[in-house]
Amino acid sequence: MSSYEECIEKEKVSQSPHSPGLVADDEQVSRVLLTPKHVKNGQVLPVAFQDIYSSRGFSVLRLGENFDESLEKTIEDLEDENNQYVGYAIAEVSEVRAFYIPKTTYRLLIVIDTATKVKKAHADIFSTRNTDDIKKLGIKKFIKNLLRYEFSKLFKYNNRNNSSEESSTP
Amino acid sequence: MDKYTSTLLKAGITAGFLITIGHGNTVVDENKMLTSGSYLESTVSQLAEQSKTKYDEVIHELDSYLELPDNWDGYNGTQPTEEVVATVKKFLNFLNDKQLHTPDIMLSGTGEVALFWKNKDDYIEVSFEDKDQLTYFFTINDKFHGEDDVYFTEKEPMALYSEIKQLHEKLSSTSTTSIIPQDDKFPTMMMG
Repeated sequence: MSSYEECIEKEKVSQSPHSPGLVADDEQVSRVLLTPKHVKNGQVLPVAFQDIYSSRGFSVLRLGENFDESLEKTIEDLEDENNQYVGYAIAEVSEVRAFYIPKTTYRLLIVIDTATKVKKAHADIFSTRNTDDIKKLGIKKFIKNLLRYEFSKLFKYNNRNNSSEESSTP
Repeated sequence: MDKYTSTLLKAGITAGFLITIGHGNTVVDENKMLTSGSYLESTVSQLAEQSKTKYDEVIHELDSYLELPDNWDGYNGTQPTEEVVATVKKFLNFLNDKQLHTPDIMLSGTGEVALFWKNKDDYIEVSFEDKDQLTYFFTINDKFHGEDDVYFTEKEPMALYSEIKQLHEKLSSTSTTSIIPQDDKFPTMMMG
């Protein structure tokens, strides 16, 4: 991704032949969690979202058709002797897309359809931070951490039994 | 009474006014201190024990990070370095010496260790990625401030120390320290 505009445009073109379609604003996406270290008092900790800055994208699953099959496959791929599925965190796509870099008109995140043959509900959240335009802004590390914290607040945790948990007194 | 409790007790008597220690849900007042030595001793001892327990838990959690296997989070997560763990310990000891609330601790997949304090309206996060350095930010009343790669000494960074102290006082003077989600309002720039 070179320019911010090019990055944003990717949301408007399907990125996979296996995709059920573009990711719409009124959809929800979920992040599969494999460590209890990233959940505390029913809330997903900001550090669980470190990968939103990764150039490879932040993998999520679209809720809706194909979700159960894709979830099952994802768990199968990621679980091993050290990692056990603990649940997933859900966010509204519209809220992810409405996430702006402070004091700018630049969106921080895009959501694109990156379905695979066996995970048709797969999507990715990419950060525009990796584009040349945003790199020029020189976003400080603490702003990145602040955004990670704000981003974590968009997600609601569903434990592995499929029940949502509210936060509680520590 | 151990040395830690004894020191807290002396500090409370010397201050001669309301004191709050540890997690701050209990207030000890001067009159009771002067008229009921056993009450004071047991209350201060209890609070000191709560604070010490949290500190021990966080240190234990921190040490456990070094034992994590590769890919510990299912997304290629790595462990923190021993130098980062040592720096976090140094910072925790600094807080403990100042009798400030012990924060919660978390680890990112990149091996970054972060400490945080959170209540209904406020959040402070201090993260460690390199030896003797920290990055921090706080959001207070929808405003935020932070600094990158600050070299950690006991005198610096003062802005962070001041905010931790203020949050500590706030936590100590309220009956609840519930961690609940904040509203969706994004904070505005305060400075920096």
